[in-house]
Amino acid sequence: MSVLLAIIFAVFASAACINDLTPQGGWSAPIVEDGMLIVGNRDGNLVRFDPSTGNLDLSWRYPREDGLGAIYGSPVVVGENVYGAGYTCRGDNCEGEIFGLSLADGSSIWGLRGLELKTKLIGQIAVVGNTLLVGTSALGEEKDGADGYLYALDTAPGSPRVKWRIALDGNAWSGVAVEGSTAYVATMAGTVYAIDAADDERFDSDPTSRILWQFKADSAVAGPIQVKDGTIFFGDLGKSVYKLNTLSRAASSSASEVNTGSGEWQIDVGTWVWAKPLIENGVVFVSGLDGSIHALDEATGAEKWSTLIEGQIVSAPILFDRKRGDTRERALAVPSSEENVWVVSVIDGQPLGVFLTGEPVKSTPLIYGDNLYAHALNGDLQWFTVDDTNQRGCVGLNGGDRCD
Amino acid sequence: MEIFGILWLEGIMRPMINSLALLYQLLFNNFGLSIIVFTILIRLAMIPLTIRQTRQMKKMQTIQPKLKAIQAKYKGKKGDERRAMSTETMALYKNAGVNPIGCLGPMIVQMPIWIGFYRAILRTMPSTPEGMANLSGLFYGWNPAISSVPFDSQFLGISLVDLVSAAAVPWNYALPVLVGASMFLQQKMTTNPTSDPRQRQTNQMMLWMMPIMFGAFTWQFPAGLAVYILFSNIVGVVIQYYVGGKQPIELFGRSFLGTETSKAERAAQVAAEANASKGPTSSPKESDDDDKSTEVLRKDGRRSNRNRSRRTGRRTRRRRH
Repeated sequence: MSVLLAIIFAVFASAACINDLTPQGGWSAPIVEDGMLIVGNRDGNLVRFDPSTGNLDLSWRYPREDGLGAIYGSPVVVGENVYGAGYTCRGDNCEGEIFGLSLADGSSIWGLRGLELKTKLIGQIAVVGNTLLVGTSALGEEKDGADGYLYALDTAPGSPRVKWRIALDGNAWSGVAVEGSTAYVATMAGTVYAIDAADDERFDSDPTSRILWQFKADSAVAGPIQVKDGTIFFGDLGKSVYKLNTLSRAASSSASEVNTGSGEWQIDVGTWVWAKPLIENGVVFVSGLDGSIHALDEATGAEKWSTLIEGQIVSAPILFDRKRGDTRERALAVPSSEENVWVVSVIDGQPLGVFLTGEPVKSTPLIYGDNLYAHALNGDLQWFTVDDTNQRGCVGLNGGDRCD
Repeated sequence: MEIFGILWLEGIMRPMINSLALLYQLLFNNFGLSIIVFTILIRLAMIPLTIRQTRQMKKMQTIQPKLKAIQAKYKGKKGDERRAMSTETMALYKNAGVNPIGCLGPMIVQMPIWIGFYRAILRTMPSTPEGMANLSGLFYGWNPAISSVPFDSQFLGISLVDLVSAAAVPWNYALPVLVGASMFLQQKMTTNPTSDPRQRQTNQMMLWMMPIMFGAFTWQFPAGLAVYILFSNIVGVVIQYYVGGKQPIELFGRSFLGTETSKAERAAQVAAEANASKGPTSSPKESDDDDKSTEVLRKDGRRSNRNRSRRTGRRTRRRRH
């Protein structure tokens, strides 16, 4: 009997282990390019969907066979190519790939495979000029290396070429945000870096000289950074949301040095913030992992209103116009990890409706034409009429089967 | 089923996760120390269960000869006589104060705690975005450790989140060996001697199989879980020492060297069985006496065994005369 119990424990432990260490994905938000939607599916394939027919383009898919495991960020299009990153982990052995594809046929522009790294590639990638910027976690192939890196790759076809990389003090789960030639990346150690990503020979001898400044938040920064006109907005896992001026920062500063006199602020919203803050008309919309949405004054950080939906919010909501009687109103479509995409008013946070996905949604929805597209966690892409929230169709992003 | 999920979450997972996180903050942001201290606290909290389990096992061991005698008495019998055997067996259990599944009960109660603790370790140090997002819903609002996430997983140069097989030398080999060895020692201390060849064989199999099996499993466990199992075993050995009265050196002496102690105990067992076979249905008083004598044997260890062996020897000599 004891042996049996031990075996049950060991089997349970091993199974749970695998589940806990393997990324699930399903957070990738669709983008639109040339009238086609491109999105990373739950298997870790980048796939293309034709909204005019409601079908998956089965001839366009990367990798052609088994997926990369999980794709968390959205793809980025530069010219005729599209770039993305995905990874999986078996135990603590992670396999990641940064890939570049031809938009025309979905084939790799970097030979058979892109740049393969033994690391987690979680955050959003970004582009400055012809440089692709990707944040990583620690590299499995470098046991004594840093806890994370910012990689800069040449976007040109051929072989994937690393232009430079900078060691970071933690896993870069937040991804990269860009304004001009400055890239912002944050780490799970709570440091936000401003990095000059321009092609400039003066940085060649010492890539760390690209670091313009560092800011130490009170806690880990897991979510993406929002950039707007010389300011950045981001939340941390210590319940704070920050607004920082990017142009007047000292080389190194911390949360205790947030300069309220120059319009900076740090606000406690009472929950971990993972989703990217949204800004419109002087209001910052911050979503928390407890399902709360806070509308903050952009200038002061003062709260205008807050509301609560069911489930966690791990990806940013979107702002959109919807019909109400004879008029149109502005609203937020908020993805819920519980299920559905909720609609709340930007004026007062009142609930206005719901797009019934019936499944958890951990990716930012997309508005294209008259429809809202939601990538559900079960791997389906569902689309709804924006005005009446009725479902129009559903397709499985793994195999292309219709699910409506 | 939902109610079990809620009970599991609110009764086991959340308290454990918050305790681990709190200890992390108190113990210099060291998750290894947090695991060790929490393991000790859990094992201490389960001492009443451990004592009960040990006592039940001892009692069960004491009545084994009588039990076998009953089985022998009714061997090959059917119908009413089989029912009589059941009645007699149950009466024996009752008189000896033994619950037939009493020694398994505490073990079964401990299983959810072990599994919960193990799950808590993994969930407190998630390595995926999903795990990290889920963690936010598991913290109590008042827990100050919430802002310390993610916790530093390094302990003695190994990452507690990574698999033991990926840990640096010598830990990748040392941890499975230490887990296996400590489990062997604990198993050895909890296994009571028996004269029944089948039972002895089963005990021997378990004694070796469990440590080897767990040592092998440890290779593919996160290092944090290995640390937990290792210290759980070590604390278990210490508790067993005080509760069961067996000393590790004494155990190894019996196990490998076949010392006088081992022979004496074996002789005592044989004598007890011989007595039992004379009268399978002993009175409650006799049962109690047997219990007491066994307890003396355990507590006094070697000396008591010798006394017992001398008694057995005298009986043998008398018979010869």
